[in-house]
Amino acid sequence: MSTTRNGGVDPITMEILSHRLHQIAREMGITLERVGGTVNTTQQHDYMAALYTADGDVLSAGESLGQHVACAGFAVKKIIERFEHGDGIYPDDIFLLNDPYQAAIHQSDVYVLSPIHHEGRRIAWSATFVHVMDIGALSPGGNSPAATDICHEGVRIPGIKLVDRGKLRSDVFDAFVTMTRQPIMVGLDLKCEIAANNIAKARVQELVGQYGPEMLEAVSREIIRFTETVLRERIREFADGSWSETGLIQGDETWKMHVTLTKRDDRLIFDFTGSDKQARTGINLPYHATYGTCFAAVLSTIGFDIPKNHGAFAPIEVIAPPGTVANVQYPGPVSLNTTSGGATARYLAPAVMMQMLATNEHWRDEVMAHDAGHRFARHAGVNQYGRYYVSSLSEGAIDGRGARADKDGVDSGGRGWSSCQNVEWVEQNFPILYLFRRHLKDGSGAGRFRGGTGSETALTVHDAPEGQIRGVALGVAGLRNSGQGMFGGLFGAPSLLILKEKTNIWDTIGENQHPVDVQAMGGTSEMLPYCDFDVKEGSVLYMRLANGGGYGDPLDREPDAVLRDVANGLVSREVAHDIYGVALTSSETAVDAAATEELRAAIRAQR
Amino acid sequence: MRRPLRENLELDDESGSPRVLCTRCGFDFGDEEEWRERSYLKRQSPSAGGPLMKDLDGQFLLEQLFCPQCKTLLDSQIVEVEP
Repeated sequence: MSTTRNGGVDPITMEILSHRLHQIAREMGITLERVGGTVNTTQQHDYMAALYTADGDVLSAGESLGQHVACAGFAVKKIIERFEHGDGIYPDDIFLLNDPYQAAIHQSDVYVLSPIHHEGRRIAWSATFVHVMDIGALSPGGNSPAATDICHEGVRIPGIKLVDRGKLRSDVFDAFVTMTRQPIMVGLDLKCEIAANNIAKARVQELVGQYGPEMLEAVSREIIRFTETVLRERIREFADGSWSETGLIQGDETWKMHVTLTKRDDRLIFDFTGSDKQARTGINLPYHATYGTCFAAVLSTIGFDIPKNHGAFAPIEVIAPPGTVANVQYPGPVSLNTTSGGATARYLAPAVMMQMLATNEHWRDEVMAHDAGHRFARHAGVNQYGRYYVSSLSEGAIDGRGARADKDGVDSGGRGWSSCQNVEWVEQNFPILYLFRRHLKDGSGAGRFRGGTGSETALTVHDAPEGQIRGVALGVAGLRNSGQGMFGGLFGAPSLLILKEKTNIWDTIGENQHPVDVQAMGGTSEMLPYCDFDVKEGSVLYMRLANGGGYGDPLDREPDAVLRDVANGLVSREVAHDIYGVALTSSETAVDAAATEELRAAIRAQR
Repeated sequence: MRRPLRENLELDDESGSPRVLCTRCGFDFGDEEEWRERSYLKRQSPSAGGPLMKDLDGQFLLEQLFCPQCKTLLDSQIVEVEP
């Protein structure tokens, strides 16, 4: 084997092993799905699986969520710090950590971490997390709107040995699952994580058996160096500058998160100065989560085609003043954060990157509008089989995506990594009846390219032994969520979570009609803040998810594309006329070209 | 040399003092710090952006920036109504 280039590794071997490490991380994720049993893991893919170096640097992120990959790296380092000179780190040990004041994002995301040894020497780490089905917090499912400090938010472990030299510590395992509402499902969560880490260990040891530990070390060093080198080169392609964006969460108070990206030479500085003070509601992000979000944003925008590893840390600096929503200090609550403050940061960091991309001829076609989060809910109660359950509604997976610089956003494109539960599956397992799940007409943000159309859903309880189920309202509260337009493109319709009570739906169903018109359902209507709530018989939970933001001037949209949207029921004739300036023939089967030209000129003149 | 600044705007620094220009009509917006101020600003109810934006009316405004010369739409923002 030639070892003359790339730090002693020939390029072919480096390519083979880089991909092999990526595949190991992917196989870990597949293992989580196959062994796990909860909605979060098997359907929503709310998990992470990645490999790390012996020191805890990110080695291969696989296809996992970048912010978690970064945070799990911090978790590995915390475990090394805590155990290396204390109780020791031995072959076949496995550790658990879910403390947001160490490295986790919120307690529900339970990190399981395993050292990988070869002939007694530590050569790597593997790590996983899954969002466990419950964590013993105030509210079922782990996200607790009423929590005002971290001690209200469930089990918090700063680092503990779960498996000691190959033997499961049943005292630790039983203690952990007993502190939750769903010990069997949480036990399954932990065991799928152990299985995924065992797979990683076996596969890495096979690799080392074939190539030797020195080759793994050399390849690890080189792929990290490669990623850093490529990213720095790409950052240099942009002119120096700075770009800002602000996100808004409207709960019982309004919280702003603000970021300024400064590009200087081959460095990117994300500065969250100007963000509001930390909240007494759990929307706050720990610093490592804010950092991880920026890590993910850089890789997803200018590093999507290179190995995702620690090399992306070096060109990035993240400033987040302590005591703000972007850097919470103890004992600030965090349990709602991934879908609120986290969603806001996941909007802001790519949004400023996109502004930077638009300034470069080579990169501008990669620009995409992003969404500022959505509303959704978890639910719990006694199901139709008499068993207590906790679960999640996963409609966020069919959000409309933002428009791109060269094409429309994906209708119901979701977040890429997550999938939406089958309606029949939900009805089979929980005391829930769906009234509809459909695309939302006129929801997408208008533009030269329109945002992807999102969804709206209505459901009620059915065959619930207790006559009701409990819900927990999550997401980015308020009306400035959903798709944000770019460069003139308009905003997607806001994401809403509405509880309607004392409706007439059962009368309608009794008349053999299908209640599909929300206005006609009658009853009271409340837009839900962050809260626990009950869905009783006759109540309807209405969810409108995010709709993609548009890109560019709607008057520049191809009239035939507008005609197609009208024909597909995604855009009304009125919006086609008033916003896109497209006049259709009376049969709505063709564009009236002359009238369209005249209409667009008139709209432009009225601006 | 010209390079893009954002959709429909470019930066021309051939003269040594960079100018922001409309790519449609060549309108000169001044330097990079000035282009927003030199755009034509229109504020209206968010529902002007679509019927499902009406929930935002009263609480937010739709602020749009246009090229003052050719009226090309350059930017749309949803901003809070000042108390």
